[in-house]
Amino acid sequence: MSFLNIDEALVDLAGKVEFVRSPIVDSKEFKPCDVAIVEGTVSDTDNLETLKSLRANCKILVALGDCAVFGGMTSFRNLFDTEDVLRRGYVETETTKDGAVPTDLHVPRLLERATPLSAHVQVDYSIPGCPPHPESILHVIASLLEGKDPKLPRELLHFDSRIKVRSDAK
Amino acid sequence: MDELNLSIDGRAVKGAKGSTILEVCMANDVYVPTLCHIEGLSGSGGCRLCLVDVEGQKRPVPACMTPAAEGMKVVTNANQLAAYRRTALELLLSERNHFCFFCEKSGDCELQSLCYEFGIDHMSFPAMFPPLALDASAEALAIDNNRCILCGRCVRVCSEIVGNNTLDFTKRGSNTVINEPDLFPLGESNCVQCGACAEVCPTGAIFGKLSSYKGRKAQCQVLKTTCCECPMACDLTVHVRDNNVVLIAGGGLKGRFGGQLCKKGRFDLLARNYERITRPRVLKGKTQTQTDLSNALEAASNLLRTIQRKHGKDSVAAIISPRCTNEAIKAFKDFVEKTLQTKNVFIMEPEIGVLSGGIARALEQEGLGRFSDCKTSDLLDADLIVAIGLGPGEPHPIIASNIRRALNRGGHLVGVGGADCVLSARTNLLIGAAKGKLASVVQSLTSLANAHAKGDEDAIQKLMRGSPGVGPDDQSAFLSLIRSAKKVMTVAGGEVDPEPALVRSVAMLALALGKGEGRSVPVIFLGSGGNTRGALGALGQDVRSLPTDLRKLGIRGAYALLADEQPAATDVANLKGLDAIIVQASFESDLSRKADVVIPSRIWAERSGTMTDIDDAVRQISPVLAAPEGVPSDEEAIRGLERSWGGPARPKRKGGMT
Repeated sequence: MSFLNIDEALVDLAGKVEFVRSPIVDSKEFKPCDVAIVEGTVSDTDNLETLKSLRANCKILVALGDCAVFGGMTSFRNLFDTEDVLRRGYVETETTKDGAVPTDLHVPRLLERATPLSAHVQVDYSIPGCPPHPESILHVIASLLEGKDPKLPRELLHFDSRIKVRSDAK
Repeated sequence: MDELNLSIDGRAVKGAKGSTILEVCMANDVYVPTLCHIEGLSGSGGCRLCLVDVEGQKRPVPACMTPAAEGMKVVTNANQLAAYRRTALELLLSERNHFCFFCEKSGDCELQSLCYEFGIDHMSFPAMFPPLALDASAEALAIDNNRCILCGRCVRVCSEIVGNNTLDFTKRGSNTVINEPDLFPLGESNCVQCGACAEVCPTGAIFGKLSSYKGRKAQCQVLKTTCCECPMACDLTVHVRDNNVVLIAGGGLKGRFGGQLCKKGRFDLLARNYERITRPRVLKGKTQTQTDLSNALEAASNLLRTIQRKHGKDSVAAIISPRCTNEAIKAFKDFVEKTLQTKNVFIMEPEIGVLSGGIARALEQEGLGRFSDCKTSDLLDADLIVAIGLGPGEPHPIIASNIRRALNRGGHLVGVGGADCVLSARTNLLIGAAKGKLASVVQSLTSLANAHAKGDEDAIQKLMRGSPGVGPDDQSAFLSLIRSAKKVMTVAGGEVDPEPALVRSVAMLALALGKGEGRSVPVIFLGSGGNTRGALGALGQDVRSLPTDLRKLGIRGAYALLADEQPAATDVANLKGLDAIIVQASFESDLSRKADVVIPSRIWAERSGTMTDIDDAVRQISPVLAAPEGVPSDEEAIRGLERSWGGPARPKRKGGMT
């Protein structure tokens, strides 16, 4: 949503980039690309495999959002044992009857801990924020396209959803 | 030499002797990032954000804990220092749950703000996720150790300012948490819920439940006023958003009483949910109907005038709450003197409060001792405090804090009579007094104190052989305490019976103890309303505590300026029995629902004016909230009532003229 909230600037961006793969592009494999933008926490074996394959095929990897950068909400399950988390989700949910933790090998296995991207691969740039502000996203993408340093300036760096409501010490 | 010459980042600067490097930097506008440090509390050097290089030192030193010295060469802005500070922040982030997205403090958080400053857009260390509990057992406060960076500000403020030592570090290493030392939940501990810890907490670890998620400082107006809940008249910093109070903070750690507030001052305005009176009403037949202010005032003056014509001027009582501003009290006094002309003027203040105020003034006039020589703040460095007749819940939280701070510095506390009070556990000597025996105990102690002040050993020996009410062991313990004390202070509480002779002897004991080197302030009977001192001062000898049966005094009608006071059930029953009752109040009560005329009144947060505090200092009240439309200030309403008195009288009522 935040990405789409870049609004009219998306039109300019669309002319400058080619989408190689995205959740809405029907392709199973990665082709080599310049920039990969990844959101979300690395939580299961499929996430990890995808991330590694992406890293191998891109020149620059950008982590987007608090989950990808810090672990975010998804990583709160780290406070509990993985088995307890699975049992809570598949067996003990109030609306579940005769539930069972899936054992099918085609279902990705949950990793012991949910972690940010940087726990597994090299991350070149980070856009934190929950959600990240459209201006912050645009700054990074536009800077990459223009060959400038995409590191977020202080006023665009934020961890929650707001960039204006803050009290800076200095 | 009181001045030091130093070099900071190559610039020659001056600093006061005895200050730390950080203090010198701050005095010279050199920015050094800090986190565990806060002005007004001792340093702790825990966060390592203020690391600076000092020439000749192998490693960087924390600026907040290192004394500045003559000729010192300090570097605050080296790249390596910035890297250390960054690492310190990243370690803090990785240690616990510092995810901002659902944190109450996000936007006002000092940790977050420093991360922005240092451009921390990711964590270099894996997050640890220790499962820590949230303690929400206290009514007004919650501690979430998951958000805690163990800076220790709360521990220091609880000890150094509140004097309560409720919070401490418990467990060890990375498992360290902020807790009551014996791991009691906050709600079951000795915590007084003053909220000082929440005010100094740099992160979202300790917060006031009622302020949570209501808005950030940047979204609020930040206004200053004076708390009108009691005569301590604490300085307030109120955050207001869309005419709603978001948060109440004190006057700052370096302000009066260390910027302390009590639970009531900090949270009551947020918590209370009383039904507000916003429109004037007049009783017609059996129901009250809304009307405009001038009609209501006219109806009020007609009713009161009719009663006075029939039964004489004194048949109408004028009643005032001590919560009113000095300006409202002045208008009330003028109205009573010039227009109402009744001798029956009452204040909604316990008898002991009215009595003690009068006796303190009388003793000053008799030249026996000046009570105004001492201030409540003198409690802070007293080495002996004598507490007479303290009741449960006494003394008042801020006075209790001041006493605890004195005790923490090595002072002693003597309790005389009274009930089990908030300071019972800290009492060094308890001199019991059975019901009705307090007067003789106080008199015996006064004789002892007087003999000691005169240095009359013979008299002391004679008294030690036998004094009414006090045993020889207590006497000698008391004597040795006053002998070693340089500054004695006396406080008295609500368990002292409102008998003039007893109150006078309590005051005499306070004065006797204050002779010699020290001074003594009988912080006698705090008073229940905010502006008790102002009201008693302005209304003088004429005012009495509200009696239990007004009809017995021949009173038929009353004008009651309750302001934002909630009348006690006994007062309501007493007043409801009158023929006509005019109520000027902020909140609905059993009295307002039965009154003949109801006039709305502003709550203290909506008023402007002044009040007189416990030390007889006049304090400014500024409105932090806009009053509901059409609600007049108390003085406006009183002047309106005065005008309608002289205005056109209603057509004659049957038998109305005498």
